[in-house]
Amino acid sequence: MATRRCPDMKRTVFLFLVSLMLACGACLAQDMAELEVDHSVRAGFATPHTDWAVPYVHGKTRVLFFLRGHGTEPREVIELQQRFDLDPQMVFWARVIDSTKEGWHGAERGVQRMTRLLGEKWDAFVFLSPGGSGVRDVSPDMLPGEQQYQMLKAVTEGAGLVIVGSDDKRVLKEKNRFRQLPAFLRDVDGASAFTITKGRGVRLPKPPAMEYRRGWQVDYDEWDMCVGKAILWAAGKEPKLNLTLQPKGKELSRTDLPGAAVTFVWQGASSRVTADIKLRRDDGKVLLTIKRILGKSEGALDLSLPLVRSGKYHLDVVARDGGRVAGFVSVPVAIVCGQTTDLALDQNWAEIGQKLSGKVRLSGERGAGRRVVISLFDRRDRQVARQIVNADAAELSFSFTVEPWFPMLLEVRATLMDGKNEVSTAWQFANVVKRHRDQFNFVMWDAPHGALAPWAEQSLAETGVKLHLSGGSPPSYLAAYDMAWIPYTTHIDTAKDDKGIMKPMCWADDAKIQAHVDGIVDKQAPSRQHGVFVYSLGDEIAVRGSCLDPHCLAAYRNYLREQYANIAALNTSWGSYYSSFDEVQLSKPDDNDEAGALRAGNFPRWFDRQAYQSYNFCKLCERFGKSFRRLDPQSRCGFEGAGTFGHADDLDGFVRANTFWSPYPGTADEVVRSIAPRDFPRANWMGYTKDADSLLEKYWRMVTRGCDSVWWWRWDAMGRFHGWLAPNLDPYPAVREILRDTQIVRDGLGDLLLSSTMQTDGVGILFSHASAYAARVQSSPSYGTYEDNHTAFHNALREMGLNFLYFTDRQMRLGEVDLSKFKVIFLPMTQAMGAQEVEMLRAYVRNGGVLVADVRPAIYDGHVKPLAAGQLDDVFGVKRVAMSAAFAGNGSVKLSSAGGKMETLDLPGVRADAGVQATQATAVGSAGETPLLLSHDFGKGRAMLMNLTITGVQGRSAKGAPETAARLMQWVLGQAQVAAPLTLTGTDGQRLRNVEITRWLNGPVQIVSVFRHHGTAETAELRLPRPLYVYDLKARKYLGKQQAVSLEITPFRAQFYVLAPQPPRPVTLKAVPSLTTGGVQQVTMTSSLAEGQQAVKVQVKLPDGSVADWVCPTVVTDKRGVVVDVPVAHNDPKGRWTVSATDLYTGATATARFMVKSSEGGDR
Amino acid sequence: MRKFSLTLTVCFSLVLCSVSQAQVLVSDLGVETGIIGAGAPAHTIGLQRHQQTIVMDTGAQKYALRYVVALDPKNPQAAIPGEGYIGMPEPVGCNWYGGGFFDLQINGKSIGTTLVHSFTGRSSAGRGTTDFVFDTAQAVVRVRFVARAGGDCLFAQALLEPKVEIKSVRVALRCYPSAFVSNADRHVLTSSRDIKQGDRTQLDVAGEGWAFYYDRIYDTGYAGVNQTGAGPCAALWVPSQIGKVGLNVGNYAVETVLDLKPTLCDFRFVFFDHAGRKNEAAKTDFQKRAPALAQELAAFAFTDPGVAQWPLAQKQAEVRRALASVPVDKEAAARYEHWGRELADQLKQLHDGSAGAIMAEADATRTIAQWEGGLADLKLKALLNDI
Repeated sequence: MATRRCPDMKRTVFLFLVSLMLACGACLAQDMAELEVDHSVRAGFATPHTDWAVPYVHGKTRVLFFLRGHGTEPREVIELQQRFDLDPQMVFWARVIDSTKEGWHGAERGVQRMTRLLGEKWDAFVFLSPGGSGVRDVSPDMLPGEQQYQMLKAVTEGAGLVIVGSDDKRVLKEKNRFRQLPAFLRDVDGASAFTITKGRGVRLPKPPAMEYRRGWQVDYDEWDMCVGKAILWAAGKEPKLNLTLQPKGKELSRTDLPGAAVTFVWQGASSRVTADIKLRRDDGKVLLTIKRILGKSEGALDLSLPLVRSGKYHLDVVARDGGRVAGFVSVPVAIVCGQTTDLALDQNWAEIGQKLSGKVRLSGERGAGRRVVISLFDRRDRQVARQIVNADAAELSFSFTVEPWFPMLLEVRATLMDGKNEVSTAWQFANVVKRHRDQFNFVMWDAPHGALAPWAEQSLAETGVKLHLSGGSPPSYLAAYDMAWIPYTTHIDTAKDDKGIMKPMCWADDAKIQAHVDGIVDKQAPSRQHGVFVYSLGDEIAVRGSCLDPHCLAAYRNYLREQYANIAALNTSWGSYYSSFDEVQLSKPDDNDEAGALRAGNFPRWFDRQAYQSYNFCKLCERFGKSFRRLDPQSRCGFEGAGTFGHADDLDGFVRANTFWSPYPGTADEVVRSIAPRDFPRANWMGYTKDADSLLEKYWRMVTRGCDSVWWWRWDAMGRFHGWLAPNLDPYPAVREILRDTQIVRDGLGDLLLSSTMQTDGVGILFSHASAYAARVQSSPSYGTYEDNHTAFHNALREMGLNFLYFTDRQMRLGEVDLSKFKVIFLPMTQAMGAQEVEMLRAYVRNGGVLVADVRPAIYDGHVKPLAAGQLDDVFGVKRVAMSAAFAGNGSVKLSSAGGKMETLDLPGVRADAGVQATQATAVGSAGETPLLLSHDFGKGRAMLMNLTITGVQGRSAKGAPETAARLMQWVLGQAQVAAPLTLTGTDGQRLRNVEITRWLNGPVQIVSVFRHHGTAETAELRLPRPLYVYDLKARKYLGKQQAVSLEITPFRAQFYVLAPQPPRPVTLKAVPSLTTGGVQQVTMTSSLAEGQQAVKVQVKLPDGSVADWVCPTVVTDKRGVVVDVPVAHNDPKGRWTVSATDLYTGATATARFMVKSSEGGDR
Repeated sequence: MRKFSLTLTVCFSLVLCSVSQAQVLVSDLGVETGIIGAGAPAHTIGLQRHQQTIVMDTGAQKYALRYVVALDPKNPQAAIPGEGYIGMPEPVGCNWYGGGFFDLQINGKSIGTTLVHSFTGRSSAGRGTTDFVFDTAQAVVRVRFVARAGGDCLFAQALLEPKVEIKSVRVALRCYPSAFVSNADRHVLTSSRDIKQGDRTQLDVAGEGWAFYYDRIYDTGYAGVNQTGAGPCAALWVPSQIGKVGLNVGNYAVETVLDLKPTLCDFRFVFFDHAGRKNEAAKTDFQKRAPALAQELAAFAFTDPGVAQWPLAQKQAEVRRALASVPVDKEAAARYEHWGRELADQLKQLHDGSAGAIMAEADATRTIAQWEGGLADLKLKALLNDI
């Protein structure tokens, strides 16, 4: 099979269209240019194929294809184009994203394009329907009336029409059907041929199902040959040279080989015609190639086949006249023999370190000198391991230890050998379970399906995809490309029956819910055997729930018992009179949410019900987690695309009850990165825009929010969003740009950051679940939402070049957090607080901490019960005189500036709490009578009540706006001796706005990202506390020992710098000088750093310069060294191999070379 | 260098191709209904929402025009505007407010309280046209929006056929420049001054023939806590048609009230939505173009050539040819004959420009759409019969 790349000119045109789409944001042709990119038939991604008719003696055939634009279906046209001399265009029928609607892709614009294309001259129109069922087939009657008329008019005037997998009886009329198929189509199974006035029509059946196996592409190649024949005939371009292949029988006996087996007949050849004859085995191996000059216009030739093993083969003939294909034909050949081999695995999967074992059964004659070779092949046809045993028994056992360097998919093959000749063979796939943890991953929503799915998978693998998330079970080609799996196991919702009981059952009904959970878990056995990164409980799911089932009430009572310990405490909180928890009821029997309690102002009763609903969900998650551990002891379980900060979700509970959680991008990310263990998988979904800038902003935000992976929705998509791959299986233009900009992540930065510590400067922020609810009651909403007040602090801190760490009220209650590690703690809109947390914060300040709150700290208890006074009023040195709504007015504060001078900051329209007065505190500003910025020394520490909502303080990030908010925050942070270690200034010497600096520490080396999420490019200077060795990671450039670094801020795209006290040196490599095929070279890579780690990109080159893509591409190593396995297969090339390791920090490369020699046993 | 030349050639060819085939894509998204819930104006809560949107895609910009009212099942002929009834949800809903930005009042009564007679969109001769036709007690009114292929603005016309004496005509425009925010810094620029947030003022009718609405904080791309700036917007009118213009620059909505001369029946406007463009760039561009646009607007031919010049005789011949291949389809023959008679009358009335021309055009538009749709099917049927 040949592999072909696009000619330069085609490429240039394609690149032009791409650049048009990228550059002309508002140009006239934008939408049409995007449609052209979607429908592009020019693909850089080439696949192995047979040149059945390239170049063709009758020249190019212009074909307009109508087909579904989903998945791998459009690639069918590219595949045909690779094999036939076609000049094609495509028109897609597509489903509109996030809907059940289908239509011609591009809607009106798409129909406009279709109309334009139909106005051109075409040799044939082809309608391709997918192989499977369940989706609408594509047929001519789907075209709008006008376009249908246009197309059929061309057909009646002489163009061809091919309908694959569908029909149109209005056009392909039975009365016009050929009673005998034309000679050129006689070997096309299931074809029917028609006349259509002056045109021709062919109907073909749906493509055959093609299961993935090594050599699957041979079946596809043969099917495509049939489609190509149909197109050429319909277009009136069938070859004049008539070729046939006639096997001697339906099955040929191996005992007759070598010998004449097939007769090759031709008519209509010129004297120059040569025939290339090829015998292909079903695994793709070519066993015979013959070139023959036919010499005369017609003739016959007996073709001999060599002695080959039993099995399926194809004999292909391509005849060329002056370099152009003049004819082609293929015939299947089956070789049978009496000695059969059968293979049975004890188990078709194994964990690393376990045994992969099985039995080989032989039948028929077993003579001396016969052996059985049991081999493990990867998808590349590499024989990664083998065992050879004498075929002296009817049943032979074998066992392999599964090595960490084994690929995820092994073809276990047993072959009976007679001397050096293969007699018969049998095979099975086996999975090596790999989960792809402890590395920076790229996760793809859904996986390709259909005949060409393996090629889509290859393209995804080449663009850095490591995992798929989808429903069902992972197909074997995923393992072939070493893709681990995230099964979408269920979707949790809270639908209820007419009695208010959760469907399919109450989450608290132990027996029923356990059976339900176990049923879901048991279905995941195939996933578990593949290798599961995490088990997903679904996306966009309900993350709280309760119902009116008695079991739910019982669980609720138990929950309340845990919360209150005694019934008197509950009665005090609720104002109720229960004598025991067993008596507790809902306020009204059908008020599942206690909405009545909320309306009545009984906030504790309402909050407790809400909190129970979150708890109930968390218990369900725990139940799933436990059940999955039964299936897979290493399992992790959680959910994705659900749970938010803004909805007052129990973020702490989610992290506790699950072992992974990937929310949609938002404020919750800050909490997860703060409280979850480092190995707790977390990320966001992205892919919901189409331009590189906005996509890159999402990508880099994940990196700078401490995610361990990037999750992309979805691998294929057109319309509102774009998939990772375009329909031709090339990455979309924006994806190419993403790949370019994020290359450093795949070159080691991603893995390195997982081993580094994000610097948070001693700044803590409390996440209080009860406060998220308190923000919704009484006059609280007048102060803004809980989330907005938090994000305002985030923005303010990040504008100062600082970062922060969340801790939660539950962590405080459970004694899991050491407050003394914080120099300053912020309490944004923390209105509700339990007595224990109050006391801990009081002690924190008393012992020297700095506590900063905005409005109304701790005016509710931990169950959102309103209190007469704030529980921390003494700490803040204030007293509460009223519980009032926000007062909006013009305020000002006087602060001492850096030079000791007093400066006045105006706060126009500031929202403040007029219900507070200073007692011991000193106010440095006011809005009317309302004090602002109250400071109080308490014990050894200080408490500061800002008494305003900083959401309303403008000007932190907008260029040219006053520095008010920044000055306020600087002053507050100054009280805690917190200052940014790195500063960023613009060309005017002023603080640069709207830029985040995130720092990670790895040993003595600091990794710094400078990130402007939106805005414009700007020249800046990054000032360091002292001179350091500076490396620009993205530019791969050493900037020297510097205390100030000049840089150009690139909006949407984070920049990364390394600051090192000493210049890092390259890693050292140690390898044995030589080994034999079948061995494993263990290369030790050792860091030059005394402390910390270095990331390196590993590349192994074979003697011919090609890259060994089976070797782990990145490694994080330290001074103790890390061993990288370089497995050498039994059939890998001999000669000098080169290992190189490129240091991420410096870009310096170290290399080691070793010789690969032949093992004694020879190959295969 | 060779590749560069090739690219230029391809680029030029493609632009030529685009220009020669330039057309505005018009899509009718259909009627959407639903019960109006909390958050809507109180007088509409619980009633049925009736909403229809027509999108005109010029290639450079997408304009969506929306008819939105509440309907009371107890009084099905009455339209009850909520915040308005003619909205522009795209390019962005905040600029020319998607929930209602254009309110025409005749003799003090909003035409929006009369249920629209027809709301149609179509594409012809390089332009897209969207019509709102109202048959009110005071006048038959057509509010027409025209987008040109490749264009970045909307030309608008309010055309009246009075039934009673017209004493006053007023158009109230509403926008939320760049974002639905109140922590904003709204400004309106005219040819002679910059009017800041909080100001209420009258414009000099002769000298201030346009307004550029922008927000100094929420410039394009500015990300606030919950909103991101979309970009500014602008309007331009014909000073000679105006009695007075009042401007109220609120911290949320900006209201522009134009008292039109009641002796006239044809009032013209241009609307810009500069979504995606920075204040400064959009302002510079708009200021530069405004004088020429004002002249162009005054002379702009709002007549829809796709209707006015529809070749009835040619179309009837085409139908006859198709019908010859399907002689059994008597129903189609009768239908086309009926339409032909209707259209002949309607087009005559339209060309005469007499009273009733607005309604005649509206009816002709509907019939032509049915004719064209049916003709393709008829021709296809004939072709399939012949295979």
